[in-house]
Amino acid sequence: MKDFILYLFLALFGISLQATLFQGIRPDFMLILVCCYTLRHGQNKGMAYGTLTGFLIDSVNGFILGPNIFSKFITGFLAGLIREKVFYWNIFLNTIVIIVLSLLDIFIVRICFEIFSGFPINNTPLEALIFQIFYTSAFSLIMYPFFNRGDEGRKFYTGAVR
Amino acid sequence: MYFKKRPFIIAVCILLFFALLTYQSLKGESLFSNLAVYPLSLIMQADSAAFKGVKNILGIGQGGEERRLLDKARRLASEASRYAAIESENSRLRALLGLKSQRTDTITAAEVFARDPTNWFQILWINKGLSDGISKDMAAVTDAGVVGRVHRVLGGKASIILLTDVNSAASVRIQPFGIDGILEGRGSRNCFLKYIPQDVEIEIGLPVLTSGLDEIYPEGLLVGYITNITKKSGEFFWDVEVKPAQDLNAVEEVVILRR
Repeated sequence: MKDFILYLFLALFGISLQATLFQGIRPDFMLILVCCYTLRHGQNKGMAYGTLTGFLIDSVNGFILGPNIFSKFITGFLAGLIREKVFYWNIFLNTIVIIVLSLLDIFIVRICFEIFSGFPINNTPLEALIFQIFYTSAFSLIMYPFFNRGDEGRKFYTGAVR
Repeated sequence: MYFKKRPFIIAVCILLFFALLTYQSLKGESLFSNLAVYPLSLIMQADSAAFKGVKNILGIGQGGEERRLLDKARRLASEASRYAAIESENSRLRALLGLKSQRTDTITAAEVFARDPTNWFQILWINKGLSDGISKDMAAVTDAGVVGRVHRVLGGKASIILLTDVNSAASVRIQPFGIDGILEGRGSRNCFLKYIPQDVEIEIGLPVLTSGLDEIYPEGLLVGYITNITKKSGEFFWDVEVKPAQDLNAVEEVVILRR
């Protein structure tokens, strides 16, 4: 519970950083946090945390509630699957996972907005989305040590077979 | 009876998300969207102030003569950049004040403290809201030109959709010919002007002003300048690109105008 509250504050701080520090293209700190939290605490808690962070993003956007909730929920689900199926975690896998999940996140958000809001969101420049993925994976490398903290995470990091 | 709990919960969650999205899609408005905004906007305001403060922090250390002189040089350079920042802010505020006194339809001037945290939308958050007389769809401008329109209004905060956002559209007129068109944002740095017939001669560099027909932006405000004109075969209209007169990535203060 303590960790959840800490991560909730991290999410609030992360969104705030994205909104105030960056001009132009922004990395997706929420995706990194959801991955991080899921790898430490498992799929169920990861999906719950993903839903919460998605709710925060959708609330700040102020258009429709749901696209980011759904995408971050799926991020939690997939990161949980990876946690169960993959026994070793290294910097290469870390980067690949973040890139794939970022792509999927963008795809889900885009599809949801297209279908349920009718916004011409497909006009968002492709280079902005590519740079978003690039920045997110770069920041995930900075966050890499935090992906493997805690008891469960330490087992995961050393490659212990469960 | 064997019952898999987790897939069931996941399926229910996904169904709930789709129900939520479908409901909003049919009703045409968002649900509970202001719940999380209050604490977030407080953090964003604090962060924004902190980042502005960090820019002016001096690095002072102790040591030998060389270190002391270096520190002094650094301190002087920092002070000079602080004065430059103050001077720039001063001239911006002076221009805004000029704009405020020129126009009779101004509501208030406001400071930008945050932007949309995602790359999908182009939104600014300002530190004035309902309590300052701001309401939805009012125009936000600077002395350089139109910035956008008010999207959401909370007690002491409001968000502004920029001209370049995908949800933005404005009724505009190309000067000096008086040709009306619709300016829309597409998420990039420039806007696009629609419905300009190809039998009309237009050229790069012409100013684009608001026409006032949309009843959001008052008539005669400078929006931007034509930067590109392309002709697509088989189409009746020019494909016109307009660069906003105000650099929308560098907006720090805005003036809100009455509708």
